[in-house]
Amino acid sequence: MSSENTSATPAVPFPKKPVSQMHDKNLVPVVPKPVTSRDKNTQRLIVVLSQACLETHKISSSGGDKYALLNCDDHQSLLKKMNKDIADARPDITHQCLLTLLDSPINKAGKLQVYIHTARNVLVEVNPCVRIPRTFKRFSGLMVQLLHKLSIRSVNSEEKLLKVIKNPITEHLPTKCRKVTLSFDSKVQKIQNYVEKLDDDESICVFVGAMARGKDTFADEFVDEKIAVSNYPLSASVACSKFCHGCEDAWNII
Amino acid sequence: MNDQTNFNELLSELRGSGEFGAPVRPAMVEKNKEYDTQVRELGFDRKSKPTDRTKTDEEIAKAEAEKLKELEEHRLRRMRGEEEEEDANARAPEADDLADDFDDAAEFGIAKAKYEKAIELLEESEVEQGSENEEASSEEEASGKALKKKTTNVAFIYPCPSSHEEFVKMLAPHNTDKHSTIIDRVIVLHHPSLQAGNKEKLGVFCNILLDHILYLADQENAGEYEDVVTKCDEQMRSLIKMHTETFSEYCREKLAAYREEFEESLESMEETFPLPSHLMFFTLIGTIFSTSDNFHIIVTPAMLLMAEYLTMAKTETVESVLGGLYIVELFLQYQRISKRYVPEVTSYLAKILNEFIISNSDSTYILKNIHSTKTGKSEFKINKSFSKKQNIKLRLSDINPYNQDKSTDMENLHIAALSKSMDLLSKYASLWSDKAAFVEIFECFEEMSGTAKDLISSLPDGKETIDKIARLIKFCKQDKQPLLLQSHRPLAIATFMPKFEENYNVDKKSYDPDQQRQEVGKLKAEIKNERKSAIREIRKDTAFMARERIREDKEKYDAYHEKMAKLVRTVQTEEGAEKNQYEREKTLRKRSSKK
Repeated sequence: MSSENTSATPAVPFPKKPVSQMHDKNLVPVVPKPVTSRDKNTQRLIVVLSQACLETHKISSSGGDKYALLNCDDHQSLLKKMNKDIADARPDITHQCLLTLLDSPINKAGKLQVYIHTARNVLVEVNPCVRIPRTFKRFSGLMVQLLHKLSIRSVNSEEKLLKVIKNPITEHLPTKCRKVTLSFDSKVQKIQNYVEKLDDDESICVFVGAMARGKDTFADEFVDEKIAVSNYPLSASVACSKFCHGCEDAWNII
Repeated sequence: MNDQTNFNELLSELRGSGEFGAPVRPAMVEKNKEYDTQVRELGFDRKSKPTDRTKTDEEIAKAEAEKLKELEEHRLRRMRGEEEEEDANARAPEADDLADDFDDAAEFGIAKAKYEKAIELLEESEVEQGSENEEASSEEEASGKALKKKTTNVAFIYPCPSSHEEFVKMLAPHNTDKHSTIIDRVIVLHHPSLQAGNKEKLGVFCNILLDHILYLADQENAGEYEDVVTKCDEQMRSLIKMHTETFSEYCREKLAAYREEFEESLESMEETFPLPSHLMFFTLIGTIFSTSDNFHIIVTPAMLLMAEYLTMAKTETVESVLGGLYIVELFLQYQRISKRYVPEVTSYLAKILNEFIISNSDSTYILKNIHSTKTGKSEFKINKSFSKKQNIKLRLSDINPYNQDKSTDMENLHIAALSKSMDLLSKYASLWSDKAAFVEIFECFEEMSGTAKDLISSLPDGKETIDKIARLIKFCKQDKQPLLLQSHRPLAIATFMPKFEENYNVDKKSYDPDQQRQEVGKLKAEIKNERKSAIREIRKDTAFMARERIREDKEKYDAYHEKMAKLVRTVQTEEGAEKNQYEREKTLRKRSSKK
């Protein structure tokens, strides 16, 4: 399976052509097209933020009703009333992960796809072009509207930037795709080496738990294997960032 | 009542007859005339005008801020060398506009710079006067022996002097500490509002004060006249605001005179040019006028003269070197805002440093971009073992070649000159650090670190200066990378802003901030809804009607068929009965016939 065994490899390997260097016939760079879920063949990295705590809640106030993402900072008493664990309401993890992922070079090169799978089993496809609001308050507004209207359009075009899609996630993945869960308890591997072992047309889909704590069984029904990427327990955002950088190194995106 | 009307009628009748007309009394006419003239006079009376409203503190502050802003805008425009609006219809340059010495200045359009504007310039230069006070204190140490101490009482009335000699004579009988009082009194006594012609007198006095400052600067004993110089400076500045025109004229005359002195000193081989008074004058110009202007009728010629001195000056004696270094420092002061490049400064600094390096080492290496070779006359020996911490304070009087009792000995002056030039070099490196040609300007100084390492590193801050220049050159070279063919960075994917409402509410239909449009939208939606429901109703009705009609039709049809069938049935029964009867009859007849 691995490309190392192929006998056609020359003695001095050619330097891999940078993936991101796409240009027209005049060598002027062109804006790359991000991969879509309709394209089932191109190699890419797919990150699924599993167990994301995105739950809207109606808050009655004097100025009229307001909807907000249930979060542990603003709604402590409410969570207590609802008899819920404070650690369960952490939409900020999802926000931080999204910012990390969409700002990464691999996304700028158009080789990344992101999905959000909420704890309530809602699946959201994130367009790589979306500019996620940088403040949590605005992010919260965006998510509330998404969960109510099921899609968010762009300001200046008809393109859908965020879209609630049908379960299960496997229907939206490319045909040849390795699916892994990041788990602290598994065998530690260097991401770059792991990704380099993939076939040239094989994509990789990572399920990252976007929750504060919990078991690594959230995606057992989909995944092929579980890997650890560090000897230390990592936060979701750092894990995402580490995986992105590993893929960038492996695919020569600088 | 009735009697009264009768009486009136009677009167009118009598008047009509003419004999008893109402008598015109002459006294009344007189009175009326008087009244009329008074009324007319009232017209000439000054009417009271509404006074200006007292402004609040906020308004005053705002007005001041606006004024400052406007002044800064003007200054920036002048720094960039753009024409100001008022200049658009300025007269064409005439022969008398310029002293002949500043020929190339004419090309800059010197004639267009009107004197009227100088007041404005002065106000602005105040903004620039940052370090004026420190500078003044070091320069005001010069004083004259000519003014002997005497003890006499100060009179209350002094005539306004018309020349500097007169002024010196007037001051001569008095003690130095009384001089400032005398200056004050002259100015108070000749306030323009007191007598006609005072304004002109004070204009002349303003120039005299300038002369006096310069005169004191050339005196040998230091420190004694500091108070007088400060006073002169202070009063001169307040007077300049009133007499800008005469003062700027006078400055230009002075510059022209200095220029001649400079030329004479070049010819005579005697070093008489940068006297402390000259340097004092340039310093004053730098603090009075706006030096950042692209072109200024006084500052530009002054700078030209200073630059000429730097290029042509001999560097044989340490006094002349110190004079040159003072001018270099003045340029730093002049260019601190506009940061223009002055090529004379770099070549002069290079020349001086070169002299020092050659005098103190065996090498005959000459730094690049120096046009003069070693003259061989100068010997700036420096004892290498001098203490680094020794801080030698330079005085303006050190420059004066006539001044014999120097405050410091030669050796120390050499060290001071060398460390001063390194200090200036470092300051200029900071000033011009963002120039594109930084590498070219400072390259030659970088080489110094190689040729005269121990000399320079023996100076306080010498090593740091060379390191700083090297570092700045390194980064400047990095910025000067040549263009690479087709080395584009890859582009990132396009990004889009999502469209969403910050305060999203499921129940809310519209987020339009325009209330009226929102209302219209609401009404439109209502109309649409109503229309839809109306159509639905109509459809329902028609469907019901159709259904009913079909039912009716069906009933009618059924009834008809029933009726027809009934008829057929009756006919058939009748026919059948008839047929049976016929058959029966027939069989009966057959039977009977058989029988």
